[in-house]
Amino acid sequence: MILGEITLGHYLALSGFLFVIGLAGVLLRRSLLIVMMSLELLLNAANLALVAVGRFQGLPDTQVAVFFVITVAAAEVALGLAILVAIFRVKKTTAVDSMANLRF
Amino acid sequence: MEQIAFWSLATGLLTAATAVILLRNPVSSAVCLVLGLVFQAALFVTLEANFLAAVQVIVYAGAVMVLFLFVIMLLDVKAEARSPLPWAKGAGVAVGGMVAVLGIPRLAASFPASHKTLAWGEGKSLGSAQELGSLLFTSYAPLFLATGVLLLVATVGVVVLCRRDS
Amino acid sequence: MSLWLCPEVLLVLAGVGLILVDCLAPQTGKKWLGPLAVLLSAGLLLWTALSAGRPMPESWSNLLVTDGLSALFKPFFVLCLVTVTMMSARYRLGPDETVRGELLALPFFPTAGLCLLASARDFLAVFVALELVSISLYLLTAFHRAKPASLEAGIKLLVMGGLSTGFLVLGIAWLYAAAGTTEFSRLLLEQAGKPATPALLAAAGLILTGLAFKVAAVPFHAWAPDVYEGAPTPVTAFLAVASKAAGFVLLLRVFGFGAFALESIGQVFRPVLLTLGIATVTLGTLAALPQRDLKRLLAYSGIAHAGFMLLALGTLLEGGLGTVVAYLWVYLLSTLPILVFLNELERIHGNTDMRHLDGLARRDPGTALGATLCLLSMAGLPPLAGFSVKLAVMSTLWSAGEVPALVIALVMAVAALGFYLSPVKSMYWEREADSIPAKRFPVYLVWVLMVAGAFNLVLGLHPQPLVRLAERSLSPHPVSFSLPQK
Repeated sequence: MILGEITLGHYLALSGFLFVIGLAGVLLRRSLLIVMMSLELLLNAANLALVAVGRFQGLPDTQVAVFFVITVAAAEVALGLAILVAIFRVKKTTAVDSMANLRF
Repeated sequence: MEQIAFWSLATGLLTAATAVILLRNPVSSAVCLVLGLVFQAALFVTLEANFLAAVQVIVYAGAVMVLFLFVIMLLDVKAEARSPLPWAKGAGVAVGGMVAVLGIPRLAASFPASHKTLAWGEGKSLGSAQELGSLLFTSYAPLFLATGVLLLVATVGVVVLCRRDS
Repeated sequence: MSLWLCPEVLLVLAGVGLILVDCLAPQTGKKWLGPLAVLLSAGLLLWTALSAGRPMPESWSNLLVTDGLSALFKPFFVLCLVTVTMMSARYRLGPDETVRGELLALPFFPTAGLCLLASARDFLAVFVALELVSISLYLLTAFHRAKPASLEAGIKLLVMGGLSTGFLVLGIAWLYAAAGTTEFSRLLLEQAGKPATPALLAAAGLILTGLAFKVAAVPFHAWAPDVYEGAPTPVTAFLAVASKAAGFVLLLRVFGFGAFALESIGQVFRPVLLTLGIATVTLGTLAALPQRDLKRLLAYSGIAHAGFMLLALGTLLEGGLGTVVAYLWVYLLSTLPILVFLNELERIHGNTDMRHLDGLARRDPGTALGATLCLLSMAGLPPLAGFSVKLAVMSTLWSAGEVPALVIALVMAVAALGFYLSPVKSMYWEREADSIPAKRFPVYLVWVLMVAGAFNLVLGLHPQPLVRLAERSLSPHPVSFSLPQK
């Protein structure tokens, strides 16, 4: 059954696993750069689910949603990296990761 | 053919994603992320979303990843020291992983259309730039404008945060 | 209504205009930028209040709707904007003085996003509007770039916001998979009478998680205190009042009477919302008790207020939904003036520690009296407005038969007196510090605080306007203070 035809369920499960991996990255890693990469993984997981649903259900709207998500993700990364650079400048330290009051 | 493509790309994507969150050196993580995003673009192609696949490669693998690597180089971030995982967190990861592995396939199977199959070439064609564009500029026009404002804010923000005052 | 007259469009144009003026004006003209921004926002407030009841442009109607709720909350958000620009013009930026123009102009963009959010009738519109607000707020929180605490608050908000975005987007994807649409009214129509599928419930759960981050509900609250403390005070005001209210407007629309207002989904989510409410009110109140920094205190007090509103919302009764609307307005009337006050306190003393209040009543009786009225209203003491809305929450819980939640809410409402009264105590009963700074509070502050205090008192004695406001906000057609429709 599992190795039969590829269904929508396969894609949704794949996106769910990707989401969990991203979530683990956000919650467990201390390095801010990697936390931000994990956020990208989260949004990509959602994108994969959107595209798959659109294809199997015949909904073109989901691709518009993916378009917006990609835009938002790019803006978020640009802003996040700018804040990191600003922190680097103020603290004059390369150890961006060792910020005491940054536990979640 | 569909099966081979899906399973190989899915394995690649999940492996790359796991590597992103496990590797200690941010440069390797970033490279793995690029790899994962390219796998995802290929998955978009198997879903016949060709335009989005192109956007994925250009925006993510192109712009976003270059930004990441640029900042990593600029800040000269070293590999993170390996710290032992606290006992409670380790248990949390184990339990969460078990729940995910058992629960996600079941949940995915519970969606109304989740057993639907669709061979390549069947079904409505949705992914062309023309179709996407006409939706974007008619039904979703206000949201398109709002994302424009969002990008403006992000641009102003980056300038404000990183400008050096003379 | 023509596209160019929509408050959202005008807000964006005003923001762009201010940035251009800031770039092009000569150095000597820069000091007029603050008054200009305040005037612009005040004009927009007037226009929004008058025009919020008019329908949106025809071609936007698949995504945006004009109803009682949007007509009531667009002026709410623009009122927050007026206060925030006023505070920004007075905020002490220190070495960052060169970017004051941006601090004045940028809040216009998230306000436009909030106005869109108040009208959204499709989850895709919710997503885009929410991201416009969030991304602007990440930037504004990190705005004080010479201060590490501000930058770290910004990155913390960004990570938490990104996480909540992930939940929201996955929820939207699953909603497409489970129901085939993301439009609220179509969801209601197509799912009515059917039993809720696990897929639909999972999608609703993910969306609720995304929104719970925005209103800082327990267990998604951990970002709030650090972010409120680190952000520039005007931005704290925006986060504490406008952003939180937006979360509740969405919760009202989604779970109260919009997308998921179905018997089948309500059965599952009623206990979830009530449990979230109990946890939020308990943790917010108990964690606020030992706080000495007034901004952190307000963060926890905001969490506790969110808990009360979640309890009222969680009953999913019509009375409960109206109570949330009234509660949000009272929250604005009591919290925003205190934040204006803290902005001035920070300008004089450099931080917002509670000891700066010692003996304030002798130095500045008017300011102390106004601040006391607002604080006591937040605490929910009769005869102030905060008491009426808390009473309404309790009576909703009673009529819904939720006795355990009612008992916990009562206990926490009493316990909350502890931390609201301690600033009052230091204003009236503590001895003044030996070295009092020569600077005094500006005259406008007394007026703001006294007017807000008077509003709290009058609305506490005559709550009828609040009741009417709440009733009107739930009607599908805007009937409040708006111009007659064409």
